[in-house]
Amino acid sequence: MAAHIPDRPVKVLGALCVVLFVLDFFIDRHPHVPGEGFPAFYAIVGFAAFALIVLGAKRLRTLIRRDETFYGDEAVDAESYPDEGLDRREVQR
Amino acid sequence: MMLLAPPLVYLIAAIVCLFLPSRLRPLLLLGVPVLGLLLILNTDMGLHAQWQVLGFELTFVRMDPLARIFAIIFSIAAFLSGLYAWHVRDTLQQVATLGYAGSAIGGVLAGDLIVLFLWWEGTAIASVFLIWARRTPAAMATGMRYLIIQVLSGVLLMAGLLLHYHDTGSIAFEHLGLVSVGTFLIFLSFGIKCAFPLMHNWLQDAYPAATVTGTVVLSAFTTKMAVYALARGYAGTEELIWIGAIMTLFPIFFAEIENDLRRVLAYSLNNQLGFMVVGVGIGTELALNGTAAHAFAHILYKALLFMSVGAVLYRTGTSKASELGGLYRTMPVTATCCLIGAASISAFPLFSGFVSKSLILSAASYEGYYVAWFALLVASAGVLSHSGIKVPYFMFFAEDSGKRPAEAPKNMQAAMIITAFLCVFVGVFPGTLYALLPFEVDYQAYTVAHVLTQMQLLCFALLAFVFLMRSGLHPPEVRGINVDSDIVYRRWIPRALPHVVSSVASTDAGLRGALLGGLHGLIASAARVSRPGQVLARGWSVASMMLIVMIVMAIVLLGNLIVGVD
Repeated sequence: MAAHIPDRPVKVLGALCVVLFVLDFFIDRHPHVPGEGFPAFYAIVGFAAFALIVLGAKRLRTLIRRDETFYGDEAVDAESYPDEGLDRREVQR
Repeated sequence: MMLLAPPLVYLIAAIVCLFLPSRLRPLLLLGVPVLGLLLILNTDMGLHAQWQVLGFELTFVRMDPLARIFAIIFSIAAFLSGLYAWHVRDTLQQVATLGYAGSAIGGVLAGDLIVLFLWWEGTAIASVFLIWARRTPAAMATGMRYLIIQVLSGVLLMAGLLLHYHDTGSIAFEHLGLVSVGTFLIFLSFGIKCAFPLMHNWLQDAYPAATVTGTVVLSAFTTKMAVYALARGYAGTEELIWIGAIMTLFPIFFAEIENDLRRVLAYSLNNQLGFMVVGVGIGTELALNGTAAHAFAHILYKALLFMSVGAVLYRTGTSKASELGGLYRTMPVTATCCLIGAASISAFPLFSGFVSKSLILSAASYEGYYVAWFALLVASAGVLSHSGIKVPYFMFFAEDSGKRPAEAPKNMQAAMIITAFLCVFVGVFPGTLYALLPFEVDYQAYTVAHVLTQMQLLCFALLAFVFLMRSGLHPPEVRGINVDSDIVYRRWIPRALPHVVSSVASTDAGLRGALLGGLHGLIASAARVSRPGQVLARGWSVASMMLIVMIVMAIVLLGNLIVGVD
């Protein structure tokens, strides 16, 4: 499953990231924690943590994923939400 | 003595609610939280509503800054969920909501452990009806699992309370600390309700099973009452820093791959609780302020996110990411509110999460808990991944599901808009929230450094999302469930139990058989040797009897000599 993200917001985000990256060298971040002063520390942590979490979770899914009916009628996953509690409505096309 | 303690107002209203015509009941659900809030704001600091019961002085209202902020946000949450559920005409849910909100407020105002126990059980019993109100066999089973675990927490609290009273002679609910078996049991009890790692699964199991409106109510109270209880009893308990850090991290992975968006939010709730628990563990004034502020902000944005997913469920019949997408076209208000909730939980500057989470992260770095601080930082990027991006993106954008649901009902929209407004208001004017905190605040959330670092973290995490999506590495949303540690009591134990029972039974039967057989043999041989002419029935001469006695005595003497018994 690729893309589905329009180009314009991505360009805006890209520009913002460049600005934030450059600002890192001009603004004193007052680091408290050892290593926090490393150039672009937060940018690196943000990107790496996000990527590792998503890829790690993807790996985890191969181990723990089961069918929706795994717990049978003891769990709500296999049933649809009862209609009495809903008000399904579609807009007129 | 204060006649109208706020929790009592809720309980009276819950009973009145039973007899009101259905048109008036929603009004009660809006009016009672307003009245309750006014009472809370007009209660002086100190102890009120004290009753002598069986030689104990019970304190139903202890008003201090820590209790007050929780009581205030619980009242606001009760009001907002009442508005969100304005259209509901189900007496069961309405009575349960009043009883549950009242119990939770009672819990945070409780001045001693006995009163705390009463409300602790009150929340368990009232809240389960919000799950059962779905009225399906699966909801009944899920509710029962939920109730058993909640009541177990209450039983542990009672056991701990008894031991603690035995040790100290006091039922006061002040700082306890991990100092005895009693306080350890109380800690475990709080830990269950706070969804500590491996005690957490009731949350992800039960919240997605409740009704559309019930989940919004559930999300506010139980876990934050537990956070309050930890802050009151165990502030500065260092173990909590590590428990909290683990809590912020592991649910992220489960949230990332979960398909049911209400369960994604339940995992995300668990992760947010981790931040608060870390704050309690650090235990400084700044950290406890952070915990209280984060609980306040969290209740609002978490309710908002549950409301938006609930609205989609209400209109489409599903909250599964794999079935949704592209709904922003026809549900723009819900989508906008959801995005505001997402920005708040992700802690973008100008949104509520930013001004509350900063306090905890700063406290961790000031006190030198660098590992925990780094865990919270990684978890912050993780929050963005599941609550910030996944929930709004896969519901309202992503691939067009072809569904064109109508916008949420007016009352749901109103509840979402007010909640969204509060999230932004707190984010833009943090001073209003800081004024409610338990300790005096000398903290500036909006410094250039804070804003820059947080924006760097979030924007580069967003960049990672774009990169993963475009390269096709991001896992797709697919149907299915992910087993968690609850597989132990939902599958393994029930499966193994018949085998264990039957093997115990057969071992027992075998052992009894063998023992009885041996006994029968012994009796038979005793009978054999006693028959006429056999050994025992024979006549013995006095001389040989004497010889045997002498031999026995010689053996006893020798034995005594060797063993040295005097």
